[in-house]
Amino acid sequence: MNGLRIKNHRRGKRVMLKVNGRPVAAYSGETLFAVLCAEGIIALRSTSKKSTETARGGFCGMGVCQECRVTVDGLPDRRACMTDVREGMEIVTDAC
Amino acid sequence: MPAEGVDVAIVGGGIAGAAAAEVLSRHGVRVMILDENQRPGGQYLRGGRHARSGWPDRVERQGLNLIDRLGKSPVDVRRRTDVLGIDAGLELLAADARGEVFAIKPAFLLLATGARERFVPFKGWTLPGVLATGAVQILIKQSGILPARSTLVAGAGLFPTAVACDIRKNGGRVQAVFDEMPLSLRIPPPGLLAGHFLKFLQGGVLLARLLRAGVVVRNRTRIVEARGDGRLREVVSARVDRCGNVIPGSAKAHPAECLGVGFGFTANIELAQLAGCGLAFNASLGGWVVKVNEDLETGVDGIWAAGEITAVGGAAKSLVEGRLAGFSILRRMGLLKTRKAAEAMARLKRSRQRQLAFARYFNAQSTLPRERFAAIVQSLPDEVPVCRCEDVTLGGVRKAIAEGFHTPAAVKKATRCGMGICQGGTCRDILLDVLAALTGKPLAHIPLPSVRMPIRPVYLGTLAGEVGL
Repeated sequence: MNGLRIKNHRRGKRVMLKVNGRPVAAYSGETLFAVLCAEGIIALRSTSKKSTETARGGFCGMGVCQECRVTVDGLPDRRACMTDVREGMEIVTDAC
Repeated sequence: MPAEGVDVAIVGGGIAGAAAAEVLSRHGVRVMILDENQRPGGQYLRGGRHARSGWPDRVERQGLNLIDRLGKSPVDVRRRTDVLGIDAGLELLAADARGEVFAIKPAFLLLATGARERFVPFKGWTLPGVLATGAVQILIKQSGILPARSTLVAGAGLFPTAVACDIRKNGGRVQAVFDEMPLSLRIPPPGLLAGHFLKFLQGGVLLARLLRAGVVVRNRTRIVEARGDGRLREVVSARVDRCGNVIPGSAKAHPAECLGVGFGFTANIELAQLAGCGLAFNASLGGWVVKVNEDLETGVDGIWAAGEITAVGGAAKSLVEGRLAGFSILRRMGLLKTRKAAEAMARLKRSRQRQLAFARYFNAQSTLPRERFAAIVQSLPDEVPVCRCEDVTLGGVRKAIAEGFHTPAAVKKATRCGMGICQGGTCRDILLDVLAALTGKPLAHIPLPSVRMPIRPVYLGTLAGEVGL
């Protein structure tokens, strides 16, 4: 699970989240987008449109593109890249 | 809604905004910074001291110290705050993290809204696993997490190479670095080399380390397709000739978990545009930027601009311009009387010219000439998305242009390109480039699409409730 976490990075305290009902460990200071990447959860939602490819994941990483929208603690359309993880956070991705 | 008063409001808490705030605050001015991020420091200092570049970078050290001092200063930093708009009386409308809307009425305003990445679309660029190079760097710096075990980096300019170095230094594998532009562009003019010797030395050493580690670095090479089944699995590259045409038979498939792409940066000018500040198109400064005089005053009385929005040029330039804007505002307030301060301002102005020279070199690395972009557009299939939010394809844009819709506003009406939730944040520059390529008009002659309040997405209920609509 920690395969993508960089070794010498100073991490905050360990927190537990729930992603689509599954418990996931993370560290404070990490963004939700990063934690989802570390978990291999790359596709975060599907577009309501009908193009050839509908799966979408985080893209710009800095709050501009709005592609990484997920539901956080019941609030829809939160940008994962602009959200720091918190103990007990519940995340639902509109996976494809 | 009553507006909160303050001497100076600064939009953007990156290096430029923070540097200006410090200068002002030291002279007793009441300053408020409105910043959209969790912490001030902008994109450059994301991750703070957790993630140093590993190179003794003076600007990085100065920036980190600046942000530390900011935390202990009386400057009122509003984090996770989106500025939604501005009216003629300089009154700002903003939304905090909970979506609560509030108004700020500053005597003077500094815009330091930074820049975002630019992109050139290709088939499959919306697949999960295709990330902006900036996103890759932010994952590493802020969260200490690699986007994948192995990453392919592509695009144009100095930044993708820098990100490739970040990946490797932090234990990730870089499959290859592909750059659209020819290597000859990298050779700096002698005057610039002398003036920024350390910067070029650092770039040279980083590149040498990549090459020594066996990373394939190729110029005149483009990503022509990303493939996958709901997520990225494979990337196809191809060599391109001097004019930007794909060399037949040069296509090569690479299995890939993650692809980082970026084509330089574009200034976040929307708030300045909404405020009525004069804008100018200058490719060597990064495209559309806010027009400023040498004191960093914009065309609107009482509004200053600093950092990437006056010219894309990096953190060192932002530091200089932030300080200069601070002094310039102090002078307007009648608080700058000593000769020492006037001398400091003169020094900063000279320093700014040096930084602008570097900015021109930096932007040249990632500025695709119109003919080259035209060659790319010609090679792209119709189904390539241009506007990711509204799912507007290149085919749709081509059709609209063929029907005579020759401005971004007209194409937007015809296709919804740029009308989605990101409000053109990603596709505005792509559409401008496509319009220039297909109409043959210079970019400077294509009008920007207009911007409207709110410039950031906000729940309409919140806005209506608070404003009393």
